[in-house]
Amino acid sequence: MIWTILLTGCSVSGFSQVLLEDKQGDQIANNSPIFAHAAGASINTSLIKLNTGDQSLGFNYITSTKITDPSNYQIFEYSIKAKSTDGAANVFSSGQFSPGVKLSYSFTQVTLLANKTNFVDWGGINIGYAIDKYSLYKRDTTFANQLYSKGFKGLTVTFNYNALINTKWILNARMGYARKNNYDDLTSVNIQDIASVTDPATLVMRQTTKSKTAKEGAFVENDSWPMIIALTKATATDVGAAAAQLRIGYTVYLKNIVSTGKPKTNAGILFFLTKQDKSGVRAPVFGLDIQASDPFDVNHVNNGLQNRLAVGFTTVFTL
Amino acid sequence: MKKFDLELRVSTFGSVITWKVYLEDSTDENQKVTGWTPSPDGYLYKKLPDYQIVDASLEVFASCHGIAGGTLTCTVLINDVEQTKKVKAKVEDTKYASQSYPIAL
Repeated sequence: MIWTILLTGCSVSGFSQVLLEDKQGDQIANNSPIFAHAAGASINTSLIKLNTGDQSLGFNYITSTKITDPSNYQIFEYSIKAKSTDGAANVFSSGQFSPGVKLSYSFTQVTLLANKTNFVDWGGINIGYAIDKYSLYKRDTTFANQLYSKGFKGLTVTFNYNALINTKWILNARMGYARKNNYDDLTSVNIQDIASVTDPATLVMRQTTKSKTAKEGAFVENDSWPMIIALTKATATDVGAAAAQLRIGYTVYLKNIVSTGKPKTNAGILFFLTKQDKSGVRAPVFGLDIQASDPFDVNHVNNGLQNRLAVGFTTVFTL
Repeated sequence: MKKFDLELRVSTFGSVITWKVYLEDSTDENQKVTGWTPSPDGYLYKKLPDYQIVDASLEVFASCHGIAGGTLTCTVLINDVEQTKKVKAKVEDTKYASQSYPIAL
């Protein structure tokens, strides 16, 4: 059982936004129009996101033309995300830092095809470019070359379509292209370099140990075609005393990545509690994410579904 | 022909994804009000000085779409006088909400 914590930080200025990301840091749903603030407030917003799923720290800037025509507008989002590809723990424990940066731009058009009483849709494109540096270990080579760094540059282009159906159900679909690698699938190894020095006078031997974490195995890059489908039960706005109560909503999602190898599939359900703000917008404040990797054991790992479950917590804090 | 200073103030409550306000004719896209300005008091407003109508009254239509429970309220000011009748729309509405404002000039 893997436990992860996903914190998504949001700024305010009358705007509450939650960007749902999974353990790999991929956005599950584009619900930005849902959380756009009530009339009167600017939609220009800056966000700081802390995702402990992929251990990244990100900054987002969102702007919109909603104020010009609230029935037909665009949302633009610029983001930068930085992380240590070896994980934050290694930064603190051994000072090991392998940088990873992802730049993203997304464009969302509201509405696309329909703007009717029981159906409103929106969609757009997301372009991302990741630059990562990885630490790798190869035991069957000369000692000096066993530990080495590998650079990776990956382009991601995805299209998304989203619809609010009958004022309660939000359907999200996303698909496109992504340059990926198998770094996360490789085996982690902890390497210890031990240097020994003997004092000729006392014959006392002194050893110094230097630790480093790396991944072992064949590093492979490949083209992939990710596809994510999600369905969210939204929580209604309340009036009166009920407005102060928390409400439960949920999102079910299926993420499938097709590549030259076997397809990778993750299925999950995210339960979330929403709190209503003064403008009547209900934003998630806490969530429980249960994700099953390869739920149908396509890759024949045969380790039981329970061992492929990841349970995560989601919360929101205000800057 | 009647001419007056018109101001519209719109506020929404809840997750309202899209909304529209029309003057006179809700089927004419040219009558859709756009280019709103944010107010520090939390609403959007649109001022239309010397607005002209041919009828005896001004018709204002409004609709909104979003998550259940969302509402829109449009306040109308004629010659800087706030009208008591407001146009109130809900996301669950299947028709435009509307109000008629007689112009006695």
